[in-house]
Amino acid sequence: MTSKVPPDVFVERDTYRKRRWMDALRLLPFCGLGLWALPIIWSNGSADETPLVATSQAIAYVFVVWLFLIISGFALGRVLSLKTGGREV
Amino acid sequence: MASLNTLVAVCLIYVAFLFAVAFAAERAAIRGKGGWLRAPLVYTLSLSVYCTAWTFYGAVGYAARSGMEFVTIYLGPSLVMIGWWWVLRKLVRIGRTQRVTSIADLISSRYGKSNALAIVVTLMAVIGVTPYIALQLQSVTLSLSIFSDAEAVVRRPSATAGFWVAAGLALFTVLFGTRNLNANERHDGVVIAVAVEAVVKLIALLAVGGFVVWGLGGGLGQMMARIDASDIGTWQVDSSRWLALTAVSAAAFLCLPRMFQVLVVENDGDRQLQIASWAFPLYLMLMSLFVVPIAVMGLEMLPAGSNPDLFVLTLPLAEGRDGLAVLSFLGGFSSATSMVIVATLALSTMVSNHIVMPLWLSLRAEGATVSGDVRNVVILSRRLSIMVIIAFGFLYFRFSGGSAALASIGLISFVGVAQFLPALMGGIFWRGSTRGGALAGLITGFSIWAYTSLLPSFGVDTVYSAALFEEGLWGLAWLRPHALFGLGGLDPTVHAVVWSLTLNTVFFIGVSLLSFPSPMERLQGAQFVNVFDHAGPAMGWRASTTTSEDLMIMAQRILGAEEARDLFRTAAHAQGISGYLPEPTPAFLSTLERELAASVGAATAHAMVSQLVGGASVSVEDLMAVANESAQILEYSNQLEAKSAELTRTAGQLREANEKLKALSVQKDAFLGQISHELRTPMTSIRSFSEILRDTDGLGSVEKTRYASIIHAEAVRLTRLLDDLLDLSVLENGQVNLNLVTGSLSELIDHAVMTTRSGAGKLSIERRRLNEAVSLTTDHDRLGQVFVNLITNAQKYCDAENPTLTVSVEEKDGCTMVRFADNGTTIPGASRALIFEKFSRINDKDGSGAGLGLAICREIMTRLGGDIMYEPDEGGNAFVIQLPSEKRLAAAQ
Repeated sequence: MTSKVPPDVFVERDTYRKRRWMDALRLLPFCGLGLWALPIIWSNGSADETPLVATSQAIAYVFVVWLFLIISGFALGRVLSLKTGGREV
Repeated sequence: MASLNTLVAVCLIYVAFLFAVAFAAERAAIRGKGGWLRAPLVYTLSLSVYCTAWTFYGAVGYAARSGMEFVTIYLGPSLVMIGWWWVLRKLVRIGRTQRVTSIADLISSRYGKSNALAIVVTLMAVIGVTPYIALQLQSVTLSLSIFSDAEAVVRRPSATAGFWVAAGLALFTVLFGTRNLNANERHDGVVIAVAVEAVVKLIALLAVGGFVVWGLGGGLGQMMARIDASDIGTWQVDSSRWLALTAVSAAAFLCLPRMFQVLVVENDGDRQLQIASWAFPLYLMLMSLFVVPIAVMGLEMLPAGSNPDLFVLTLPLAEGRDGLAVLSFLGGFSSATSMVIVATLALSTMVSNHIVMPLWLSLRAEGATVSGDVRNVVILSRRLSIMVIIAFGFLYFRFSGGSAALASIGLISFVGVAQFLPALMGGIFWRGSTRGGALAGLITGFSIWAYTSLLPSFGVDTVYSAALFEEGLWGLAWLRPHALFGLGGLDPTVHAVVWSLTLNTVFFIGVSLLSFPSPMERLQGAQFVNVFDHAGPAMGWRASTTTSEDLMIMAQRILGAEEARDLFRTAAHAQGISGYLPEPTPAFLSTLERELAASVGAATAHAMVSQLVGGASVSVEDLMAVANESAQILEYSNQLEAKSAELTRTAGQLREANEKLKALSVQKDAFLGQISHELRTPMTSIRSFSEILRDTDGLGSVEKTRYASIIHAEAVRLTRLLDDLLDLSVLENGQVNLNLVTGSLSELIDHAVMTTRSGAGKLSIERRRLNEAVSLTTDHDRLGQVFVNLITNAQKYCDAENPTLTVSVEEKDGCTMVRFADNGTTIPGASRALIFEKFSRINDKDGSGAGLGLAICREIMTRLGGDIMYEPDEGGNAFVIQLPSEKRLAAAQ
C-alpha cells in the first residue's frame, strides 16, 4: 500500500478565505448554544440573596442573540455564495 | 361579536381558498411552470408547519404560566437551522440520493431495509404524534367555543364540538393530500398551502401583538415596564428545564414526521436549506416576539381564571375588536390545519408503506404479481390511515379531558419523537451502528417515555392510580413514574427526557457495539455515512431469471401505466435496446427499486422486487467495495498522482525535444549561411582576378603570373574547403570505410611531423620518443590526418615568441593519450565550447582556415572509437587525443 497523499498545505488566498468563512458558519451554532445557555447561571429565585433578572432584560438578551445569529447566518451565506459564484456551498 | 355561523362560513371560504391555491400550484407544476414552488422562500415558509396551534395559542399560555421558558421551543430549532451545515445538509442529501419518503423509511433503509424497524418507528411516530394532534383539536375546539359562548372562557371544551372539528380536519386532509399518489412523495399543492398558512398565522399573531403593545400597552417602553411589574416579571426559569427543553425541541425538530416531511422529503437542493438556515430562525423570532406582551396584558386585563392559552383570541374580543379576533382565529385555524395536514400525510405514508402494504402483499398468495392497480390500494390505505390517526388524536383529546395546558401536551409529543434521534444521528454519522442497536434503543427509549410521560398525562386514576404515582409499579419504589430508579426531585418532563434519551442512547450504542451488521446493513451504512464521498451502487441484484414483462406489470401498478412505460423506455434506451423492455440488469433493478421506494418505501419496494427476482444478493464485489473502500479511494488518488507525475515528465521531455529541434534548425541555418560565405570569398577573388586578366590589355608577364597564382591559390583553397566539407559529411553520415592496420604510434607521429615540415615556420616540436613505443591497430591514415591537423593549427595560431609544440604520450586507465601542447595564448573561456564546432575560427588572423579542421578531427576520433579534448594548459593550449582501445574500436566498428 502506498503512502497517503498529503493534503495541500498552501492554497490560494481566495480558497483559504472561503474555508475560514465556512469555519465561521460551522461554529455559529455552537456560539448560539453558548450564548443561549448562559441564562442557566442567572439567579432564578431559588437563592434569594442575589437580585433576580427582570423579564424585560431576559427578553432583550434572548432576542438580541437571536438577531445576531440570523444576521450572521445571512451574511455568511451571502459571502459564501458570492465566493462560490452563486453556486451551492 | 361574530356568530358561530359567520365563523364557520369564514373557515369554509378560507379552506376553499387554500384548495384553489394548492390546485393552481399543482397545475403549474404539471405544466412545468412550477419553478417558483421550489423557491427558498416557499421552502422556508413550509417549515413553519413547526409552529402549530401550540405556538399560536399555547405559547402565550405557556408564557403566562412560566415566563420566558416558552421560548426554548423555538431556540432549539433555530440552533438546528443555524447549524444546518452539520446535520441537515447531510440528512437532506441522503434523503435525495436514497429517495427517502419518511423518517421511518430513512431509518429502516439505513439499517438494511429492515421492515421490522420501519414498523417500530411508524408505530412510535403514530403514538408519539397522537397527543400533538389532540392539541390541535383542543385548540380549535376551544377557540370555536369562545365565539359560541362568551362564558366558555373558563369552561372545558365540549366533546361534540371536538368530534366535528376532528371529522372536518380528517375530510379536509383526505381531500387535500391523497387526491393522487405522487411519484416521489412530494406534494407541491400541500407545500404551497402550508406556505400561505404560514403567512396568515404570522400576520395574525403580529397584528394581535401590535394591537396589544401599541393599542393596549401604550408603546414599547410602557410595555416593558408592565412586563417587569407582572407576575412573570422576573427570571424564574428552572435551569434544567431551560436546557432540556431546548435540546428536546431541537431533537423533535429533526424527528417529527411532519418536520421530516417538509425539511427532507420536500427539499429540492442545498440552496433552499442555506436560505432557510437564517430565514426560518427569523420566522420563529417574529412568531415569539409578542408572546410575552400578550401574556402579560392578558393576565392584567382579563378576569382571573381565564384560560391563558386563549389570550390571543380573548384579548381582542374583550376590547371589542371583532375583525382582529376573526383574523386571530384564522391564524390559529391555519396553524392547526397545516399541522394536521402535514403530520397525518407523513404518518399515513409511513403507515401505508410500512404496515399496510407489506401486510397486504403477504396476505395475497400471488404476492407482487397480483393483478389490478396497487395504487388504489395505496391511496385507500393512506386515506384510512389519516382517519385512524385523527381518530386517535380525538380519543386522546377525549380521555385526557381536554383541559391540560397546550404546551404540556406538546412537550409529551416532543419527548416521544425525540427517541428517534440516537438511531437517526447514529445512522448518518456512525457506520458501526446496527439494526439491533437501533431497535434496542428505540424500544427502550419509547417504553420509558410511555411509562414516565405519556401514560401519566391522562391524569390520576385514568390509567395510573394515585397509589402507582406514590409507590411505583407493583409497589416498587424505584419504578415510580416521576422518580425512576430513585432519581426524584426532578421536573417530570426533565426526568422523562433524561431517562428516556440516556437509556435509549446507551442501549443503541451498547447493542451496536456487541452485534454484527448484515452485509446489506453495512452497504447501506457506507452509503449513508459517506453520502458526500461517493455514490456507488446501493446494492446488487443477482442476474435474475425474471422477465422484464413481470417487472413492467408490477411497476405499472405502483407507478401508474404511463410513468412505468416512461421509466422502462428510458432504461431500454440507455441500454441501447429499441422498444420499451430493458434487460433486467442489476443496475436497472436498482433504479427500479429506487423508483418504487419513492412510492411505497424502501423496505416494501425491496420486498416486492425480491419476490419477482428471487432474493437480493450482496455480491462479493459489493463486500469487497465496503472493505476496501478507503484503500480504493487511496489507490485512486495515487493513480491520479502517478498519472500527473508522468504527464509532467512527458511535458518536460517534449519541451527538451522542442528545444533541441529549435537549436538544430538554428544550426542548420547558420551552417548554410557560413557555407555560402566561405564559398563566396574565394569565388570573389577568382572572379575579379580573372576579369582583370581578361579585360586589361598590356599586362606584364610578371603580373599575369601573379594574378594567375592568386586564382590558382584561391581555387586550391576552394577545393580544400570542398574536400573538407565532403570529408566531414562522409564522417558525419558514418559512410567512412576504416582501413585498419597495425603499426607503431611513433612512426605515425614521425610521418605527421614530416608532412607538416614544409610550412613549419619557426615552430619547434619537442617529443619524448621513449613513451611513443606503442603499437596500435587503427586507421593510420585517418589518425595521421588528426595529428597533421593539430600540428598545422599550432603552426598557424601559436603566437609565442619561440613557438614550441610538445608532443607527449601517456598511459592512463588503460588508455593511450597523445598530448599536443603549445605555448601560445590560451583560448578564452567563452570560446572553448565552440572550437570543435564547424566554421568556428578563433583568432584567425589571415582568414585562410575554413574552421573545419577540429570538427573533422572530432568526427574522425569518434569514428575511430577515441576522443579529442581541449585542455587549457599552463601558458598555452593542449589538445589531448585519447586513442582507441582495442575494445572500443571493436564497438565502433
